[in-house]
Amino acid sequence: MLTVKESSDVLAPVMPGLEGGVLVSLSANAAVSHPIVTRVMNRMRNMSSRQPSYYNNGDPNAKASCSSSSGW
Amino acid sequence: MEIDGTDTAYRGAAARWGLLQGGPQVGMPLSTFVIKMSSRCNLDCDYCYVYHSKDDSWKRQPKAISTVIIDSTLERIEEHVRAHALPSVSLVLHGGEPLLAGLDVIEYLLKRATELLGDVCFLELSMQSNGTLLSKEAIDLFAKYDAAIGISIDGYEDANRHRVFRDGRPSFRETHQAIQLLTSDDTGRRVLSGLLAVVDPRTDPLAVFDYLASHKPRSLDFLLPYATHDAYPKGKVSFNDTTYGDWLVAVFDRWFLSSTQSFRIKYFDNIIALLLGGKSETECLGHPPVNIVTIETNGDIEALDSLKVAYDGVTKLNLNVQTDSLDDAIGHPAILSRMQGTDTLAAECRRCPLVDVCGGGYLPHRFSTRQGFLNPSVFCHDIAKVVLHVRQALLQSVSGGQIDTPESSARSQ
Repeated sequence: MLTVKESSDVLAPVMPGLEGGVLVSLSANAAVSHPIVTRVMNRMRNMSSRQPSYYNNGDPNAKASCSSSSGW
Repeated sequence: MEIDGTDTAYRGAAARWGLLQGGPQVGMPLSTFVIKMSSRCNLDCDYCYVYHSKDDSWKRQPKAISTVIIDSTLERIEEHVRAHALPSVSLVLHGGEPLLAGLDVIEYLLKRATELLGDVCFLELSMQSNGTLLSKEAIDLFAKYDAAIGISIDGYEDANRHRVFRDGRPSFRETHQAIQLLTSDDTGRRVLSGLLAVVDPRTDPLAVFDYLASHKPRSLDFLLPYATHDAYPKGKVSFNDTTYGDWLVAVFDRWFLSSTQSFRIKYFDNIIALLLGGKSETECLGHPPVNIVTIETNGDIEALDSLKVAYDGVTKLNLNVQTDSLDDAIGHPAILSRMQGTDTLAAECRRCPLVDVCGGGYLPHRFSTRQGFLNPSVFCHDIAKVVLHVRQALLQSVSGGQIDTPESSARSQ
C-alpha cells in the first residue's frame, strides 16, 4: 500500500481521497442495481471468462484488443 | 528489418520513449490498424492534430490510398495474423476524411479485407467520419460488409463551431443530417457505432450531452483535446486547473443519474471497469498494451497518428507495407514502449495510486520538449477529478453489501 506521502507528489495536495489507493472491490453479497454498473460488470465477466491469448483473450468474437482513441 | 538494441539511433529513440534499458526488444503482435484512406479533409477543425500540429507530413502524402497500397496493407495484415495466430483484428478506416477516397476505393478495401481475413480471424471493420459526405449508398455498403461507422460531432450547433469546412462554413447541419440518415432505419442504426465529441469546457456540458443523447446512439465517447505541456489546451490556465474534469463530471452525472442509460459512454465505462479491477478497452486509460499502428496513404507504417501533436516526424518508423513486415514495427521503441505498461511512465506517475486507472493519461498529452513523454498527462488533475468522482458514484450505487476499498481491507486484516 502506498502512503500519501509516497504516492502523489503531483496530486495529493489538491486531490483528497487518494489516500490508500483508488480501486474498489465488492464483497460477495454486495447488491449492484445500477444498470450502468451492472452492464460494465457483465462486460468484465465476459472478458475474464475467455481463454487468454495476447490481449484480446482469444475470443473469436472479442473486440480486437484495445481501441484507438478515434475508433470504437 | 533487424532491430539492433545497441544501435545509437535505437538507444536515442528508446530514451525519448522511456523504453526500459535491457527490456524486451520485440513486442506483442499488432491487432488494430488505422488505415488512412485519405490524407486530406474537407473540414478544417481548429483543434485537428493532423492539420494544425507541428507535423505537416500530410502534405507529402498521396491524397488517397491506392488499390496497390490497400493490397499490400491487407497482405501484410494477413501475414501477421497467420504468423501469430491472431484471433481477431480491427481495421479502422480513417483520414483526413475517409469518404474523400471514394466509395469505389472503400468498397475495394472492405471486399478484399473480407476475402483475405474473414476466414482466418474475426474481422472488425469500422470507419470514423465527419459525416458530411455520407450517403444512403455508403451506409448500405458498410451494412453489406458488416462494417461500422462512427461520426465525429461535438454537440449542439454552437458547440460544434470548431468543426468548419475549409471555406469557414459551419459543418453542423451536414453532420446532423448524416446522423439523422443513420438513425432513420434499422440498417443505419446497426451501422452507426457511436458519436465522438471533443471536449470544449466553454460549452454547456449538459446541453452537449442532451444533444448527443437525443440521437439515441449505441455509444458515445468524449476525447480530451490534443494538447501537450508545451501548449496547454484552451481554457486550462494551470496544471492544477480542473476545468476539463469539471466539464466531464457534469456529463457523467447527467448520464449516470438519468433513468434511461441505454447507451454506453466509452470513457466512463472504462473508468468504472478499471476501478473495479477490470481492463481498459481504450488506449486513453489504464495501461493495456497498445498494439496499434497507422498505415498512411503511401503505405508507410507509423506510430499512433495523434502523436503528431508532439513534434515533426514523431510517428515515423521508416517502414512501408511494400517493403517491410508488421513484425518490423513491433520492435520499434515508439511501438514497444506502449507495451511495457507502467514501466515507461514518469516517476511521479509510477508512484501515484491513480495510475491503475489513468495509466498516465493519453500518450500525446504527456509530451514536453524538455522531457519527451516522461511527464504526467497535461490533464492529470482533470482525470483525477473524474476518476474520484466516478468512484464516489460507484460506491453510492452499491447497496446491501460490504464495499471493500483497499483501505478497508487493510483495516480488517
